[in-house]
Amino acid sequence: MAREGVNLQPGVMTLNTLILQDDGSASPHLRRLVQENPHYRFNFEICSRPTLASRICESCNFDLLIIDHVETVNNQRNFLQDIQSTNSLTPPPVVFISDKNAEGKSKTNTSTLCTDTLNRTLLNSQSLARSIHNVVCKQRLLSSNIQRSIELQRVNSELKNKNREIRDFYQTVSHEVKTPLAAAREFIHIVRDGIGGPVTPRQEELLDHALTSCDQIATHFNDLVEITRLDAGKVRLRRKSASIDSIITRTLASCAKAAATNGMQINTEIASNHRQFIADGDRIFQVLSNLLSNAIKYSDANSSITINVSDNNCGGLIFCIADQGCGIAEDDQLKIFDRLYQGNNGRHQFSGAGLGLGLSIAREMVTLHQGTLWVESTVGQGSQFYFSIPDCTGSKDKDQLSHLTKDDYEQKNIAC
Amino acid sequence: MNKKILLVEDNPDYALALGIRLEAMGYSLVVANTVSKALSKIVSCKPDVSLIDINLPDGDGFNLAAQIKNNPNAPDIPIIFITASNNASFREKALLYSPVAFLEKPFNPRKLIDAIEFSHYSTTGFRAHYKARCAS
Repeated sequence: MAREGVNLQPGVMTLNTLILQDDGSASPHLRRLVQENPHYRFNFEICSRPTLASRICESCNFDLLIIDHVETVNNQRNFLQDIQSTNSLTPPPVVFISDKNAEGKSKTNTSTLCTDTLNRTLLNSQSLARSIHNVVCKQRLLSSNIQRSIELQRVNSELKNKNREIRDFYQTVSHEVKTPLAAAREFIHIVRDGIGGPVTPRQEELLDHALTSCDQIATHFNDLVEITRLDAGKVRLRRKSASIDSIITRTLASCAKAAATNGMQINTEIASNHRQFIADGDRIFQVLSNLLSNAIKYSDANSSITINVSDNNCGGLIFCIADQGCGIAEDDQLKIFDRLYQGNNGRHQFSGAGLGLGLSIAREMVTLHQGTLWVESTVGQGSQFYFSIPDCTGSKDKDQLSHLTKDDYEQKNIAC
Repeated sequence: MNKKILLVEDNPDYALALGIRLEAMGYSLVVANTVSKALSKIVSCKPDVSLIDINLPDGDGFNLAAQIKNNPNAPDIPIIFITASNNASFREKALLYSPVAFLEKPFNPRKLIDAIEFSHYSTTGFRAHYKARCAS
């Protein structure tokens, strides 16, 4: 490519230069001035008509244009547009030699063009050399910028594709693991239920542990798929009228076994004036059951946990799950919402803390509802996890309920 | 009532496990592992309820459900979908064909039995309720 120039001597680049000049007799003078340049060597092509110049530009790759053509200099915009349209990527840099003062400089949008205008009264070999050096360097920067941005776009789309592939892969793995897992779980359950023959109470108990483990595996895979879907903005809320009571009942049912095993008392206090609210009930249940199962995990046996639902003062609800467990150190209170964070608590040894995705998913679910999830805790005195769901009871705007159920029945997740 | 269940599931182990469970619960069973076999068994065996896996080797469960609903000989069979994908769009699609829950593998056998027993009630109940509302 001629644009790259040919190095005759180390460090000296040859510029293929097109000179557009209306006064042919001045051409040797201009060429001499140009050639006095210590930084570059030049191959010249001379022409006197702008139309010819842009045609030559089209067919040859020039490294530099020097325009000493009154008509063209006065109509820089047209000429520049012309050569810009004929060159696919980056047009060559242009030095205009003008009879006018500097104010007459081109107002063309030169974001993809490097131009410089030299006043004829200041024209000498040094000023020309400076001007050429200036536009050539600008040009190099510009084309490397353009190349980088093309490269970035390419890498970006590659990353997006990879991301999608990974997401699909997670989904496939999850599906492929869960099908045989479901078969294993069902066989265990069949044996446990005595369908294959009599089972002793001790065997039944052991098989119950196997069932719990199967459910844990399924939960982990669901979490993995969920987090990739959240990242991709694929999680959509299905907001509709949901009953506070039934969500709390479902939450209690989901953790009833774990709570009973550990002899825990779970109290509920529904202090809200509302029975219904507008939200994706399944997602709120997911958040609550995650918080409750954490509270059970990190509490001592025979302690109590309280679930409280109350109104905030702007038509929203605040849910709180308070335990009397080991508590969370101040340093850890922000980190626990980070993905893959595993609490390392010396006092409470809990094995099998999971993938560390639960709280991160819970927070994103609350954020999708435009709410916030936060924790207040003192080590040794338990933790209170709060989350707020704003404007969900319809009390702020009476029409909101019907409006939301109709129009926002499915709200696309745009937060991620 | 001894209901006849059509189980459409391509994983042989899972089909075996569900089959053992359902027979132990007193249901009689017809098993198919593809959409096409399921369609022919619907005609030949006249099941009362169908349990359909969504991912099948020769099509998806929704496609099968649509064909069942369009089949004049078997339009009223309740359909219960089972799948290992926790995909929200599947849940919406499932609701097009069935007022009954969609079961996500692995699930508790209790849920399955409830769904089977509830399916008949919900399908006929839903229809009766709907007709009564239309009439009034």
